[in-house]
Amino acid sequence: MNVSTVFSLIFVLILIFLVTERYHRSVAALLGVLLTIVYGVIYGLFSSQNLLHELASLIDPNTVLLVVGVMILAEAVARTGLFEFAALSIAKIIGGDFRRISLSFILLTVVFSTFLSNITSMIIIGALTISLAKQFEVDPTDIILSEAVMTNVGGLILLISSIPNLIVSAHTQIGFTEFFKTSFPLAVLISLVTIPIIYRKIFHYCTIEHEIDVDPWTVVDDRGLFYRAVFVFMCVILGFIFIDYLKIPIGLISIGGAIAMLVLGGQEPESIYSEVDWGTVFFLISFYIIVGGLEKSEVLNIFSENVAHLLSFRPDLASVLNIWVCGLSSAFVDNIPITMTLIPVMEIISGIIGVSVKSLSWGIIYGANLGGNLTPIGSPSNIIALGILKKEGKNVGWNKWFEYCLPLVLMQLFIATAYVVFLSVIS
Amino acid sequence: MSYNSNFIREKVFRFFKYLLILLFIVFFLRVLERQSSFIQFQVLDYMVTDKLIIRIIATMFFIYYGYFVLVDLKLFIDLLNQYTAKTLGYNESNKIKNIAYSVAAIISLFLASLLVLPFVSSLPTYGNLIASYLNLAFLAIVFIIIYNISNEVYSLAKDKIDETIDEISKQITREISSRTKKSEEK
Repeated sequence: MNVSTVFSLIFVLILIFLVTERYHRSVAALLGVLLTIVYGVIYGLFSSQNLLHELASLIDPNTVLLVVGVMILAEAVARTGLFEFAALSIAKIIGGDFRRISLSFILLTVVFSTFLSNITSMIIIGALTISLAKQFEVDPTDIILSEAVMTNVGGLILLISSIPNLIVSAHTQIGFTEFFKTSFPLAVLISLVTIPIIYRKIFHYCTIEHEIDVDPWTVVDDRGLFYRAVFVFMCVILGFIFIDYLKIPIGLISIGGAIAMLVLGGQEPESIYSEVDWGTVFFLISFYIIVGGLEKSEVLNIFSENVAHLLSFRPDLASVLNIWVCGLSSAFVDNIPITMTLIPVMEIISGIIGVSVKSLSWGIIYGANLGGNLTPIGSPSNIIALGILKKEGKNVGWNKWFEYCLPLVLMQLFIATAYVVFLSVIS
Repeated sequence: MSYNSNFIREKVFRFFKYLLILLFIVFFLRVLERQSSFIQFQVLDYMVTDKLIIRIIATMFFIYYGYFVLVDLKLFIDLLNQYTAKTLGYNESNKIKNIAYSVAAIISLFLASLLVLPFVSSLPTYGNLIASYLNLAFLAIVFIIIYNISNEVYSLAKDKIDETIDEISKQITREISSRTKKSEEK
């Protein structure tokens, strides 16, 4: 049996487990690692004497440290009440118009998901939206769905905003500022087009003015800790911005910030560790090994050569194709494996069709981030949003999701496509 | 559908009974066929021989008992199918997911056979024999799973076709009733 066939079958098997959610994604990925190791040793891709060393060489420690550091830092900072404080302060400044508050919360979702994981930002904003909707006695369904859609827009802004961004930048050497300069205009453009449509959709909400009588400081338990968290958070962001001058791996800045927050925060570290999404970390590490197996067994080479042959007629379409392939796949499969599989494929294709990896990778980033909102299961923030609504007795099915979110997400993907074409034209 | 043990026992007994009868009759008629060459007559343009008569009788027996054997065999495959569905964690409501589980099971079996068969066949004396039996067992399980997939695909297609037919018939009924109303108004 051909080694490429065996490794393709392993990959298909893991993809089936991920799509059907037969097992937790980290368990499915770990199973993939086990199969990769066993068949890798049998077919001579790995030597059994040097196995651990070879496996470790497949994992990118910079990305793993970055992910773990950002997760710990975000969790520790969120516990100080910084994000709730920001949301309540904005609600207080805006006043009692529910439509305006809703819109500001939707925009805040973008800002929060820039720094936090989509899940954390959806939980914070979702809980605040529900409590305000109760005060105003309105149905929060459309607002929560809009927030879920906008979390992935926030994921476009910074290199640290989502895991696909981190993976792609680590492979293609895209810097923090370069990422921001390229992606921020797209996030703004998408928000500028999406927000008015959302505003029209939520226009039917009451305009009755309620006095918002909440002091934002009530959500902050310890002001000293709050200021220290803001300080560490700002230092890490500055570290990311000036990474090119500091000449330090981005993963070290992230993990350094997390350690500083743990030391200065004085919070119980065990409880912070327990809230970190270790499943995602295991998943990420496991997928490095699975993709490494695919690379060693020449599966990616064969696939890339075929794709490159197809693209040789129109190399300029490669980025556009990336957006839609990534976007549509992210609707059903986690965007991490898609990104991790496509990046080495793009590295090979770029050599064949003569287009730089960087320009190809923007398509992957935008597709992987935005496509998750195409279905209710495409992104964890969607599942959280539906969970929040279900808790309030509002059952949102696939039909309602498609009716409300699908047009918005398709429009976002079309804007991203136009933007990628624009980028390729100006470069 | 679940069956009780008495029913299954009855079916197993009937299956073997009819299978043995069928084998016996076929064997008996084959022996008879070899020995016979006595009768030969013409009906219209056709030459009828005793061999032909025996073959026709054999075919009739084959159809009669073969039918019962096949019916029971289908029942056993269905039972195996149910057991496989239960093992694979099938969900009544999501047929596409069930098909995906089946494909995953086939891939897993294939990978397992790649791992196990070379090891077993390298065993001394009976290694090759055991490996060929194991191979057959893998193939049998794959057959059951493919049967499972076909069942799911059939029911999926059937549901969709039923829905479409219902929708078309509703539209036709609506159209006819609106036309009748219009003609009555005229």
